[in-house]
Amino acid sequence: MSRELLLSHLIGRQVRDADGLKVGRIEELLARIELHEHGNDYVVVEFHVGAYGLMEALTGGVFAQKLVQRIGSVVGYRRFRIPWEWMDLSDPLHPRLNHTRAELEARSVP
Amino acid sequence: MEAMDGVQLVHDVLDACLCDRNGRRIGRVDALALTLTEGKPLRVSTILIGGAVRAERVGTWMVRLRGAISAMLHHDRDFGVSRVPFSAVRGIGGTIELDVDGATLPSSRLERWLGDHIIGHIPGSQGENK
Repeated sequence: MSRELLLSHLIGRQVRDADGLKVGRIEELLARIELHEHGNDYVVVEFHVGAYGLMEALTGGVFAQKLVQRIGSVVGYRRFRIPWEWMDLSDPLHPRLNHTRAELEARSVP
Repeated sequence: MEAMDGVQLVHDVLDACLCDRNGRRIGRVDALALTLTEGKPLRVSTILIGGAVRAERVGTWMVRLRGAISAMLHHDRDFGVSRVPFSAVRGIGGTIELDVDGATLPSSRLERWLGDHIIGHIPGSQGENK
């Protein structure tokens, strides 16, 4: 069964990991073309989630998020690239990872 | 900064200017609808154009303000929200090119109404000489 949701309803949502720990807020969705018999579709392959560390409480708004990203390294801002398979959107208003934050951090280490 | 191989929906698509197949500007991407199917990646399905969806993005106060202004002006016209399938996108660059005729979209009603009732009454608006 399919349902529709708006991009703006996802952006800014707090993402929690499989243990319920905060990971960060959804900032961007990366889409790629998927070719099939009847044409092609853009499908979301990655979610970009920003973690604001100590500034988390202040980053509910878009303006505050942009400001904190600018001074990122000073306040401990990190951005995670999360593959779509890791994201559980069964409740789109409360997105959840099906992995732990530790697994995500291990994957994100260059 | 890492290179992005793909389209960033917030950075590249949301709020981007739209052109129809005649190269005419028809508004901006006011919202983007995604289709969620269990076990599959989110599919970018529809571009939404229209003041109502933009107001919803700003907040409930903007939806209320918009409703109050409409009531104050006693206008009962629904200027509409256009839903354009994402498969109509022909190119994503500085603007997004769509394979649609902008004049047929419900969101163009406001522009047409303004043209007929206000702009059209301004001397010189029809392109006549002095």
